[in-house]
Amino acid sequence: MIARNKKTIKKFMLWIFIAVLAMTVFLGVSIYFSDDTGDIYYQGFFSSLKIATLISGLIAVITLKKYVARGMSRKTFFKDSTLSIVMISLYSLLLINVFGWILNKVPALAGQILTSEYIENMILLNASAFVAALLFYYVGLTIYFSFRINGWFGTLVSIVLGGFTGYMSFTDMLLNNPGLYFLSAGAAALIFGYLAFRTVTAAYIKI
Amino acid sequence: MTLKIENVDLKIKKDTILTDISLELEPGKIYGLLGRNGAGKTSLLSLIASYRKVNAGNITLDGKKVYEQDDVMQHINFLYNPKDTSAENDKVTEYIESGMIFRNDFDKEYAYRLLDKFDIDTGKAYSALSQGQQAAVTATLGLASLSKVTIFDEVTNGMDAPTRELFYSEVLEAANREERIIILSTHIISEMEHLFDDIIMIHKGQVLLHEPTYELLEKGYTVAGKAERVRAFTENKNVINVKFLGALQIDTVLGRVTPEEMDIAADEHLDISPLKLQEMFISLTDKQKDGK
Repeated sequence: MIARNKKTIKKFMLWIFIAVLAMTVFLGVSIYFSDDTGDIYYQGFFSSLKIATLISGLIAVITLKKYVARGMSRKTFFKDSTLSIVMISLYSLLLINVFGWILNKVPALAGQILTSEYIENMILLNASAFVAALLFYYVGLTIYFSFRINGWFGTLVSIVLGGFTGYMSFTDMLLNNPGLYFLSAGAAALIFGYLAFRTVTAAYIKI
Repeated sequence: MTLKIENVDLKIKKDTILTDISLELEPGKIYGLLGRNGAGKTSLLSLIASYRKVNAGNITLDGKKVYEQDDVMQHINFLYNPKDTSAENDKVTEYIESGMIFRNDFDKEYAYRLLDKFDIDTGKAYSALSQGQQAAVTATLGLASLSKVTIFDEVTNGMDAPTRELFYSEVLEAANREERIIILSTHIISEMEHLFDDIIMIHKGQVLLHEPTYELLEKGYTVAGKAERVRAFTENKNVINVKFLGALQIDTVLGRVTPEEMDIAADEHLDISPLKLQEMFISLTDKQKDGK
């Protein structure tokens, strides 16, 4: 839906811009008053991005229903929704970094936000956050559609993936060892991407 | 362009919903899909629209499988009134735009003409419309899609009488203008029987009959008059339904009435009239008569 409707794309971009701007102000104020390091900036944003894509996966059935109702296959929905998540994540990461750079220019916060001096680290950090966002979308899809297959199966999948996503959300690995995080999240995204594809393409549409 | 349903079975969990359904639907015809509640009508329509996958058999349009094929699904449009519309906050105009984005054949001008005829405020959100107006928007999206296979599943529910009449005339016009397969699933049989070219009756998950309407209605007649005279007239005939209206008895009979019988009926002051589809439907799907 998002990928095909220009008006929806514009609406989404505007909302993301407002959300990132509001969160930048909030995090900037938090860093200033707590005199914390800039880590909290990226941690806060990346966690929000992952939660947003997880929720997108959990409620994606609404869009899937509209896709099939308008004569599009589940496969096309999967491709389009993945593309939407990729675009949203890239756009969000761009805003996060631009706003982080601006925040870093504020005299009271100068040097507190991680920026250009760690350029390689920043690229890896962003790449890891991007892959994690995609992974969390697939996890959301897998959880929802495993419930549609069977309630017990859904519960089991939720417990396993709940623990997994909890670990991936709160581990320090993303900031301490983004390379390892990138590799593990990338491998998991491939596995869960495949699982999500299988469950979505087998899903029935309830009237 | 033919929609072929071949030996289709559908099971949901342990329940058998449809068994060995085989139908062939031709363009330029309006099909009336009739069946009692829970007969399997909506399930069959869901399969045609790829909402579900068949457990056995095939559904093809022009020889191409329907399920999960974008180029085929594009030509099938399944319209129904959603149960919960509280989250449908898009404006009516956005529904039309969505139709244009997703359906290549969608006729925007025709859609707006129809909405105007149905007296719909296009600036309003779908959820803010009355049930009947929502149904009219749904009907508009189906008609204006120009889809080769257009399925209306009880879309007239909630529409007032003038709106229903307008919908019926638009369906007839649409079927005549474009070579489309239009399937109307309904419980308002008496009001819609004049629309149907063919009747498909589903009962307990199986096709009970699939015949042209005129042929079906020629298969029987009703006799009305004083009870004892009607009983005498229909004795030894295949009476499928008996109704009483005070001192009057109305028998529904399967079979043709001969000229001699017409004379007898006139002498006995009996009124012979063509079979009513609804009468036939009730009789054929009567639970009491199952298996008889």
